[in-house]
Amino acid sequence: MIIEKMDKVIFYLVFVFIILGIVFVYSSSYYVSMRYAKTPYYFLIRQLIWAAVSIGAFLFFISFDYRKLKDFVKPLVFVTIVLLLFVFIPGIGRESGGARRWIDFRFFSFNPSELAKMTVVIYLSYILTKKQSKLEDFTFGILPPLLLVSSIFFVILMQSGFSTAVLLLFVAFLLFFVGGASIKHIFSVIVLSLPVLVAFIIQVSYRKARILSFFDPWEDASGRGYHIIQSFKSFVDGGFLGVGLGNSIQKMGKLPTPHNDFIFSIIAEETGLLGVFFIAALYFLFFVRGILIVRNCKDKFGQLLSFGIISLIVTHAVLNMGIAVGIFPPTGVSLPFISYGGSSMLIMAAGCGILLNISRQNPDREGEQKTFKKVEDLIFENI
Amino acid sequence: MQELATRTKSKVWILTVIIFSFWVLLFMRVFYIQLIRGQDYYKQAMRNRAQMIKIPAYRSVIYDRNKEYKMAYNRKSLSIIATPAYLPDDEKQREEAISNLSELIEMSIDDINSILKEQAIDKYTPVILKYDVDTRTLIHFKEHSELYPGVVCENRPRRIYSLREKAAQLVGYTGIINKEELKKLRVLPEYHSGSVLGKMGVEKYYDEMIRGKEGVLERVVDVNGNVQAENVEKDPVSGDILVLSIDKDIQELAYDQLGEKTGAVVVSKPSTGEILAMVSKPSFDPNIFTDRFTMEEFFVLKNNIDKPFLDRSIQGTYPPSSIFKLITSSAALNSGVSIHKTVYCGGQTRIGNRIFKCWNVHHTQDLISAIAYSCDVYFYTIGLLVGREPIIEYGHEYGLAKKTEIDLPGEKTGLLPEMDWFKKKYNRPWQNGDTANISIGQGDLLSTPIGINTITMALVNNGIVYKPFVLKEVHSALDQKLIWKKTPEILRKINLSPEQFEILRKGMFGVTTYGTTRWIRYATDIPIAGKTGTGEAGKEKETHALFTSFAPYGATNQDDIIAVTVVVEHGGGGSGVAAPIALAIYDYYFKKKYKIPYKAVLRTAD
Repeated sequence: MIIEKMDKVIFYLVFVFIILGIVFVYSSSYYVSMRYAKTPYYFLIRQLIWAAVSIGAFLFFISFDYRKLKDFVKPLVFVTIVLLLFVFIPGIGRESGGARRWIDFRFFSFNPSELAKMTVVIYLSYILTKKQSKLEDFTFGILPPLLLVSSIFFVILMQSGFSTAVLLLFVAFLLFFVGGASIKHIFSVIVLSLPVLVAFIIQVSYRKARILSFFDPWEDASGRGYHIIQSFKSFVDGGFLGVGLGNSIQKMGKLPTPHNDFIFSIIAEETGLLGVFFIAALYFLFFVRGILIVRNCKDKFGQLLSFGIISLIVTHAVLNMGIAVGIFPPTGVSLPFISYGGSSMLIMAAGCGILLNISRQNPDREGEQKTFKKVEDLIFENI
Repeated sequence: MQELATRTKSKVWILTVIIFSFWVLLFMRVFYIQLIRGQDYYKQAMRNRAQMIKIPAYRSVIYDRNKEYKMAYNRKSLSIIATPAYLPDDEKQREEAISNLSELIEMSIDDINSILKEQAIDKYTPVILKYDVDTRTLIHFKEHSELYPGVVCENRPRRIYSLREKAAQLVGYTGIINKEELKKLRVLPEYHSGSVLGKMGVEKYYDEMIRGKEGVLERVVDVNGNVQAENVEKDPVSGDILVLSIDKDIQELAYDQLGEKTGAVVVSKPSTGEILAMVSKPSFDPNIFTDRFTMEEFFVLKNNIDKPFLDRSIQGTYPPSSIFKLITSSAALNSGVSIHKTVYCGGQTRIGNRIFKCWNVHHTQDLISAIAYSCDVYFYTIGLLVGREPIIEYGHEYGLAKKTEIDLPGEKTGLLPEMDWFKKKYNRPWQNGDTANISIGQGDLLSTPIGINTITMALVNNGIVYKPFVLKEVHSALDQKLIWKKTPEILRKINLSPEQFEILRKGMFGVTTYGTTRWIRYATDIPIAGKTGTGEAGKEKETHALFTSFAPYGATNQDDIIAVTVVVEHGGGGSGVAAPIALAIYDYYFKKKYKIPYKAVLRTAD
């Protein structure tokens, strides 16, 4: 049976992540949920529904031949752009937390920028494979996809999804880089666009404040630096074993969106160092297994696609965890599968489905060997 | 193709290593936060919830002159205190907490809200909602503390004014600093938003001394505002003990003597300038400002048409009326008018084409009898003889248009009609009739009761006026040692000879022995010398009753003499309304309280 050839580690990891997500969303959103919806289950129920949908998408894409995705690239890009533009239409687009990035479907809302990230990954994997030979030429090779990516980037930026936009750009550049675009070109594009980014950060005061608070949270401990300090406090309060599931104090109004961007801090507080390392290790395992899939893949489209999906998910995870411990400035990045948020979970589950389909069709040639042995080899091979 | 794939792979490995290094960083960071800087972060995070609370120092205890009676002091009072920052953020929960509180302390929800809004300029300022909580309330509070998040029950000093309304304007009261005061006082470190300071009287004038030095308390509180840990960083230093020159018994007596009347009484010792009593009516109970009173009550008080907040003894201005005749007399004496010069009073006199009436028919009068009988015709004539300028000049000499510089806030000056001012007001030149008018103390003349009292002091001291004062001594709060004592300061000296002053005093003694208030002679054997005044208070209204006096007349020891000034608004005549109040004070002072010997006046028939 072909399913047996897929990477089972990632297959189980996705379920573990989704279950952890349900548990921690319930725990961390308890207070916020009581406060806004007068019931502790508001976020839990939504997370459960999305989990079911996501698992469906996950299983679907496992059995969906990833090569066929090439045929859907154009309609996918089209749908993504249309959905992104829908957000601007009053009555359809919905504002929340100062950002206008949702499409309101009455019973649930969808964040098309999550879809856009995956679309860009698929699109770039496709176009960079297709234009393999032209990539050295800037105008006809790299420029068209760059323009498309840039326009999506700006649309997302306008919808206030600064972190989403930058993350998308980051993954896109990784793909350009791995996909074979000239490093010279990538470098010049980055250098040229840097002033625009900086200007954009400074222009919006809350972004500036966030970045400033990152450098010295104690300077304004009760203002700008408050959330970072509260996050640190969660880690300290959690100690080695944590204060116990459901016992977090920081989720009670101290941390913003404790079930979303700062869920990692709540995990740290409730399950301690042990929980933190466990979650971080799970993502690391996911990352290593993902890279193995990239390595084992024999066609370029599959390589780029799996690499893109892996970087997308792992970048999310690294950023979210990094923000919680103060390595990165605080911006809104979700923890894949665990943070509350249906659009993100659905897209990531679909991405993992694609990833597993790639691994099914490109089985591990040294399947019997242990993962860590392979990692060792990989590192030594390439040094 | 194969070659390209290899290149792709090596790029992937490069990125893998980079991302892997992020992981290493993440792990290191977690260790760093938790294990190495854990304690630091914890401390800093604690500071997030720690407050630096200013501990208000105990305000000075204020004694009366005999150092036995506390006019103002602090008493420990179990109080219900709320800190707005620790009340629930959630609207509903907050409302619920306040409504629970409202039931507990029996105060309306609106009142609680307005107190919190009024007094908590900073949301970390603890606000005292109710003083003197009884044990039952305390027990209920402690048993159900979860119903009252952000509220504590602690002992707080409560300011007590034991003389209550009897010395309200004099001692004053305290309150939370307002915006204007803050603007003015911000330069001083002891004043900040939420500070309590004196708002009136001695409490205001000597606030910097009375307030002591604030301490600092570091307090750690949990989410519900419950105190977790407390640590006094700096002890507060109480304000030093103040001893006033006020005699508590005289103060009370003067207040009681005024009865339901509106007015002021000033009792002083001319030999030093110290004030023995200073009363203003109507009054209010300053203790209500430490207790909670509703905003309505406050405005009823503040906008009361009788102005209980006005200290009439230093802020009320009244026409000195016949008392001013002493100043006209001074001008006359200085201008060389003989004391033997007589004027015939037929009940009226003609000046220009106007008839100026006297209040009685006095027949032939000399200076002394004219003062005693307060004969208007005599002073019309003498005034015209002397002229406007010397009279105004002596008005200045006696300080009518100047402050007495008493150590109380908000003193007003009196009024003398300066030429420029007069012309601007009436748009006509000064006429003889105007001179005649001021000669008897009517027209544009005004003085405060304390101002009239200093005129009396001048007459007693042969022209020397000591600056009136109420703060006599300051004792250290630590060991009660005397650290400051008031030395009398000369405020002004009136240019007349002792003999001339003796003539004026003789006239004043005449007032109480055979003149306008001769009934005093039958009422007491204390040799009182005085001068009545009946000030016009507008056409329809009853006249103001004034009486200023000193006793004993002819004392060998200047130190025995006290001066009493009484003003009763719309009281009628000075003799009938104001003088009896002064008489009661003299009787009490000389006979009951201090038993000072005096040369008794013989009670002979008129």
